[in-house]
Amino acid sequence: MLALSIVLIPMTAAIVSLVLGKMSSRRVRDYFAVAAALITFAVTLLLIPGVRNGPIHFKLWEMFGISGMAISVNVDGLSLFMSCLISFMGFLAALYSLAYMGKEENLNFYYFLMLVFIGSMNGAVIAGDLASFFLFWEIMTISSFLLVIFNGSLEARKAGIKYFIMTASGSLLMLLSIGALYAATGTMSIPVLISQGIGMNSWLIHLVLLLFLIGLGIKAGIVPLHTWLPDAYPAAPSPISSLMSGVMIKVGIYMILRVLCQIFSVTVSWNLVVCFLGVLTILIGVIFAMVQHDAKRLLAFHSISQIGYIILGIGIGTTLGIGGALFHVINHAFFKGLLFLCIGAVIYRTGERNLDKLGGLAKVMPITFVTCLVASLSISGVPPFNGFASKWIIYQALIEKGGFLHMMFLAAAMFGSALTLASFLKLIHTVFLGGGSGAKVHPRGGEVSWMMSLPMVVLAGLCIVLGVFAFQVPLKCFVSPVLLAMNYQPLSTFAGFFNPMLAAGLLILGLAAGLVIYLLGNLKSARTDMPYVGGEILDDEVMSGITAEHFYDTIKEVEPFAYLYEREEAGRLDLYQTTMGGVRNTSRFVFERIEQSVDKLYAGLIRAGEYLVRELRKIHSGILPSYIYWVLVGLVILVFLLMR
Amino acid sequence: MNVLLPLFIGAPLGCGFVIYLAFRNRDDKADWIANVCMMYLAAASLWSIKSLSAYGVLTYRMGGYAAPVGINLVLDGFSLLLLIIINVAGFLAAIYSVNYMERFTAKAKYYVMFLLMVAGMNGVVLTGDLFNLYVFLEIASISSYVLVGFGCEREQFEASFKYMVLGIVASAFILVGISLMYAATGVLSMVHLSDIAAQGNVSGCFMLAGAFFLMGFGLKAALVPFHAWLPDAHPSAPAPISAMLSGVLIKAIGIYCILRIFFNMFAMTPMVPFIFMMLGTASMVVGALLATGQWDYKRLLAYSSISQMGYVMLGAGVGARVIASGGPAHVATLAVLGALFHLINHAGFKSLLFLTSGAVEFSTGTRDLRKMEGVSQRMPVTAAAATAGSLAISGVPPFSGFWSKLFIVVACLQAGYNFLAFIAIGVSIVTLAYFLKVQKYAFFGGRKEGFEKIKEVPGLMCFPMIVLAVMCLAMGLLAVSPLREAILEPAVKVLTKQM
Repeated sequence: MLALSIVLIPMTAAIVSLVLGKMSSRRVRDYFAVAAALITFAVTLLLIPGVRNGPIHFKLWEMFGISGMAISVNVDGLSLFMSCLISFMGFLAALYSLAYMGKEENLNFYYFLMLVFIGSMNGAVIAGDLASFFLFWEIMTISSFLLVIFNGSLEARKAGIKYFIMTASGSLLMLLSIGALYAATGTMSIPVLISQGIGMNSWLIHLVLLLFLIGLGIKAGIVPLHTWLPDAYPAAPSPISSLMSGVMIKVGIYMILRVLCQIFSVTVSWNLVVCFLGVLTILIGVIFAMVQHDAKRLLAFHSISQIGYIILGIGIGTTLGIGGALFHVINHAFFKGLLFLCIGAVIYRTGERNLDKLGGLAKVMPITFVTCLVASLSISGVPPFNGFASKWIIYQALIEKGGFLHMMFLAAAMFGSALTLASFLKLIHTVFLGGGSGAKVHPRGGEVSWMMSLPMVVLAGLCIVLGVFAFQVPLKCFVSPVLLAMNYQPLSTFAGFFNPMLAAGLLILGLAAGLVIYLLGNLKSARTDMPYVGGEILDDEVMSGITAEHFYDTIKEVEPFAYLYEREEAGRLDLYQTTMGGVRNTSRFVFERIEQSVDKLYAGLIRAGEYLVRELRKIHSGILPSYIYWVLVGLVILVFLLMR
Repeated sequence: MNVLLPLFIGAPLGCGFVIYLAFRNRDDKADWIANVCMMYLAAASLWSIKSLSAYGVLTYRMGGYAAPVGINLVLDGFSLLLLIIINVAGFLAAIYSVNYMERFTAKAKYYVMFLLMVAGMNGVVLTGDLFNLYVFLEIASISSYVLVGFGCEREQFEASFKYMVLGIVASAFILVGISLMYAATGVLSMVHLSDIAAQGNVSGCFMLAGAFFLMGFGLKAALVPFHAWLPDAHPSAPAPISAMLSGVLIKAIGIYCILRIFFNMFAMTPMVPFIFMMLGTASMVVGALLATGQWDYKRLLAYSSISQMGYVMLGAGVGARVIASGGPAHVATLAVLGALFHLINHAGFKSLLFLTSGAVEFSTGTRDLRKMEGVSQRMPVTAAAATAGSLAISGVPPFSGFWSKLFIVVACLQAGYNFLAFIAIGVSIVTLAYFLKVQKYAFFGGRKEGFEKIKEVPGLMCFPMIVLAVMCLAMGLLAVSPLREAILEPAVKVLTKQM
C-alpha cells in the first residue's frame, strides 16, 4: 500500500488543492501543494528499505477475470530509482512555483495539473503491467500537454498541439505493440515478461520492438523524433519545463531500459542502431543548440543532446554502459532542472528569454549566476562536476567495448561534449557577463527570493557532490543497487577509472596556486588596450560585445553545419512539419482535384435543374385555354392507352 | 351506430343553413356554431374507428330503401380514413379561422361555404353509389370555387375562374363516365359494380369511362398534366381554406375517388396501374421542380402538394400493378399501405404548413419569401411548427413523412421498380432543398427592417399549429401495431380486396 500511496497522495492532493483554491486562500492552497509534493518524496524514500529486500509486487484487480490482464504494482530497484528522482524534482519544482508563478491567473488548475503530473509519472514507473503503464503514460501526456498550453498564448497552443499530436501518435504505436505483445505472450505483467524474456526470432517481434521504441522515443526526444521539445519547453512555465526535461522524458528512458535491456533479448545490430541513434541525438541536439538565441529553446536542444548520452549508454548494453546511462539520468535531471530554474529566475526578473536582449546579470543575480555556472560546467562535462563523471563512465564503456564503430561513437560523443561547452560559454557570456550591444532589459529587483533560490542552490550543491564524491555516493548508493536489481554486475573496478576526489583536489590546488601567483605577481600594473587582430583594431560592433545571434556565426557557414541549419530553418528536418505538410498537401489535392470536380458536377446538376425549372415555369403561362388543351391532350392519351 | 352516418353530411349541411338563415350578420355566433359542429364531426369520425372495428362495414339506407333504388351510405375502412382526415383537419382549420378570418368581411358566409364543403366531402367518401358521389362532388367543388375567390380581389377571382372552368370540364367528363358505366352495367351502386368487376368482363365502354374518370378525378387531385389550376387556386384562398384544399379536398374528391373506382369497381388490368405510376412520377418530379423555383410561400406549398400526391399515386400504382400481375400479396399491401399512410401524413403536414404560411402572412403581411427574414425570432411557435412540417414533408426521420416515404420506396424496390424508387428518393431530396429555402429565407437569418413590431399569432391560431406539429411526429406511430390495425389496415384491406 505504501507503494501505491506515491501515486495516490499527489492525485488526491490535486483534487484537494482544487477545492482548497476555491474555498480558502491562495497561500493555503500553494503551501498545501508543496507539502503534498514533499510528503510524496518522503514516502518514496520510505520505500527504499522495503525494496532492498526484493521487489514489491502485488495485484490490485484482475481485469475482466482474464489472467495476465491484471492491474498490478511492481516496484523494483529501477522503479524506485525513477520515482525517487520524480518525487524529488517534483518537490523542488513545486517549491519553486510558489514564487515563480506568483499571482498568475488560474493557479488552482496549475497546481492540480502539476500534482496529477507528478502522480502520473510515479504511476507510470511503478506500474506492474503494460496496461496500467499505458494509462498513467497517457495521463502524464495529457496533464503535461495542458501545462504546456497553460499560459494560453498562440505560440504555447501551437507548441502544445504539436507536442500532443506527436506524443499521442507515439502512444498509439506503443498501444499497438502492447497489444501485439499480449497476443504473443498472453500476459501484460512486466515482471512476468521480464522473467520470460522475448527472443528476437521473427520479423514481427522486430516490428513490435520498433513500434515500442518509436512511441517511447518520441517522448524521450530521440532524433529524429525530437521536434516537439524545442517548441514545448519554452512555451511551458519554467518549473514545468524543468520537470518535463528533468524527469518526464526520463519516464520514456525508463521504459526504453525495461524494453531494450530486460523484456526483449535484443540482437547486436539493435544495440548498434540504438548507439547510432544516441550519437545522432547528441550531435544534432548540440549543433542546433549552438545557434539558438532563445534561452529555453537552447536548453531544450541540450536536453535532446543529453538524452543522446543516455541512449548511447543504453545502446552499449554493458554494465558500464547502463550504469553510465543511469548515472547520467540522475545528473541530467539535476543540472538540466537547475538550468531551467536559473533561466526561470532570469525570466522572472527580466521577463525576457531572448539572449540578445540580456546581459550583465552576474552582478545583479549572483546566486543565479553561480548556480548557472555550476550547471553549465556540469552539463559540458567539465571535471569535477557530475556531468563529467557520468559521461566518463559512458566513454569507458565505449572503450571497453572496443572496435571501430564504438571508437567513432566515442569521438562523436566527446565532440558533442565540446560543442556543449561552447554553447554554454555563449549562454553564460550573453546572459550574465558582457552580452551583446542590443537593447538590454533591466531586471526588476535583484536576486530572486529564497523560495526560488533554495531549489537552485540545493541542485547546484548536488551537482558538485555527485561529481566529487561520484563513486562514494551516487554510484554506490543509487546506481549499483539498480544494476544489481537488473541482474547486471555492480560497478566495481574497471580500467582507467578516474578518482574524482583527487581531480577535485588537484583542481582546487591549481586554482589556489593561480590565486597566489595573481596576488604575488606584478600583474597589478597591467596595461589595457583595445583588442586587435593582425594589427587592426577591431571595429566598434565587436568591441561592444558579441550578441547571441552572432556568437557562432562562423559555424553557421561551415559546410556540413550550414547544410543542416538551412534545412532546419526551412523546417524540413522537422518530422512533424513534414508529416503535417504531407497531410496538408494530400488534403489540398483531394480538395482541388476530387472535391472541386464533385462540386462542379453539383453545380452542373443545379444549372440543369434551374434550366428545367425555368422552362417548366415558362409553359405555366396562366392562360386558361392552354391549360384546357393540356387537359384534353392528357385525356386523349388516356383514352388511347386504355382503349388500345 | 348507423344513424351517425347521415349526420356526417346532415350536421354540417344543417349548421350551414342555420348560420345563413339566422346568423348571417352575427360573426360571433357563426364562430360558435361552426366550431361546435366541426368539433362534433371530428369526435364522431374518431369514434367511428371504434364502431367500425366492432361492427365491420356500416351501411345506412336513406328512407329504408334498398340498394338499386334508395340512397345508401357506406362506411368501410377506406371511407373512415378519409373521414378522419376531413373532419379532424376541418376542425383545426375552423379553430384557426376564428382569428384569421377577422381580416375578411362576411365571416358567417365563409363558415356557410366551409361547412358546405365539408358536407360535400363527407358525402363523397360515405356515399354508396356513383351518382350521389357526383352530387356531393359538385357540392364540395362549387363551395371550393367560392372559397378560392373569397378574398374578392382580382387575382383571386382569376384563380377561382380558372379553377371553376377546369373543374367543370372535369365534372362534365366524370358525369359522362358515370353515364357510360350505367350504360354498360345498368347499375350505379358501388357494391353491384364491384360484383360485376369481380367477374372480370371489361368492355370498351368501361375503359372509356375509366379514361374519363382518370382525367376528371385526376384534375380534382391535380395530377400532372391536369394540375394547372392548383398553383393559382390554392394560394388565393384564405389560409385555412388553402389548408383544407391542399390537405383534404384534393384527396377526398380526387385520390379517394380514383382509388375507390379503380381498385373496387374495375377489374385490375396492367395498363391502369401503369398510368397511375406514370401520373404519380410525373406529378412528383414536375411538382417538386416547380416548387423549387417559387418565391411565394403558399404557391411553393401548392406545387409541393402536387409532388406529394405523386407519391401517393406512385404507391397505389405499384400496389395495383402487383395485384394485376398476381405478385406477392405483402408487396401490394406494403405499397398501398405506404400510399394511404402518406395520404394521411400529407393531410397533417400540408395543413400545418399552409396554416403557418397564413400565420406569417397574418403577422408580416407578405407571402414573398424574399421579403421576410428572421421571422423565427418574433414568432417562435410558428417557426417551430413550420420546421416540424418541413422536416416531415422532406422525409427526415423520425417525422411521419419519413416512414410513409420509406414504405413506398421499399415497396418499389420489392416490386422491382428500382428506377422509380430512385426517383422517389431524389424528389425527397429536392423537397428538402426547397423547404430549406423556406426555412432559410422566411424563418432564419437576421431580422428584417420593419419587422420589429411583428408578433406571434393569437392562441386560437397557435393551437391548431401546435397540434399538427405534434402530429407530424406522432403519426409515425400509425405504422405500428394498435393504431395500424385500427386505422390503416382496414383501409388497405378495402383496396386490396381483389387479391
